[in-house]
Amino acid sequence: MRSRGRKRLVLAVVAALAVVAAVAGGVALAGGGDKPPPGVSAGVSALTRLPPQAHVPDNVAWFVTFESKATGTDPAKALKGVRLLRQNLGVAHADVYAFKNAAGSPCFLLTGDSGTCARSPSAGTSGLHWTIGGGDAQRPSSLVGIASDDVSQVQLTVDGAQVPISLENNVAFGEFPQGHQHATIVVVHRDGTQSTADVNLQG
Amino acid sequence: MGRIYRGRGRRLAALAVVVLATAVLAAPAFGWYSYFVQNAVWNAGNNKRSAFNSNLKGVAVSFQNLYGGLPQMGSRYIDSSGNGLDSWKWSNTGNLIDDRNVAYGAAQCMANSGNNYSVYVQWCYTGNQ
Repeated sequence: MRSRGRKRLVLAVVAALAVVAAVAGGVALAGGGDKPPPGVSAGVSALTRLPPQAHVPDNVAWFVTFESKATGTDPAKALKGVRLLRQNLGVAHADVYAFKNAAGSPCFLLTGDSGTCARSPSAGTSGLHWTIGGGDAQRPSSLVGIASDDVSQVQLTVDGAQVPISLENNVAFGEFPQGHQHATIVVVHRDGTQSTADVNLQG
Repeated sequence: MGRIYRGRGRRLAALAVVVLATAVLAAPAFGWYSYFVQNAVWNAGNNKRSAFNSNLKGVAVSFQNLYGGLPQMGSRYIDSSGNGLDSWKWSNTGNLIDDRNVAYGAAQCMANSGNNYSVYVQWCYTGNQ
């Protein structure tokens, strides 16, 4: 009788340990495997795949010089590494130029509109360095951003309505009318995970 | 006659001085720039504008999430009544560059009212260079 009791006790302990191990494994998988890389640290291949521009417009040269100085980058070297990632975007037929700063972060400019130049590629929303909003009498509001290579799709909802966003050469772009209140940016990674950013467009 | 000419000459000279002074005072300051915010910690909704000037050629906002989260900063231009000349442009990665231009106004930068964390604003910049 005592021996059967011991066996039951041993079985119970083994079962309990198995359950603990399974739960711990699951937590480790969810914590490590399900989290997309920070910012655009997964890489932006268009910045090496596309050819550098021999000449850039004056406002782009100003942007490159200004942001190089602001992020501890050699402006001359940065100017030699400028790429034209996309052309003729939106109502204003704007272009997206970009370069990599000393920290390896992509600095981009949608001409006549906006851009960012982060201190680190790991900064910001996972998978996308973005700007949103803007617009004036000549052009609507927009979402523009540099997406990392592990991003398959960028989605935008403005006041509940879906806005089409194109994604080419690591550049996400879409336009929507001015005057909206709230935007939600969803970055879909190739592994199925998603990152989101909610923006109060009116500040 | 001589007194009339002398009086007219003085009036012309005075007019010339007024015109010259007006031209100098009203002339737009080209080659002007301003870091109108420096080293500030802002909570949601905090904002500041630059001085007013002509031909502003951009706004830049340098900021970091030193206090956590992914706080957003924005920029726009305003007129002398404080009304927006364009809509806010937002980002959660500093530096934010606003490449829009305005003939006359002031630049304004702001911490989004939806921010859950304070944000370190290294500087907000505008200029007409």
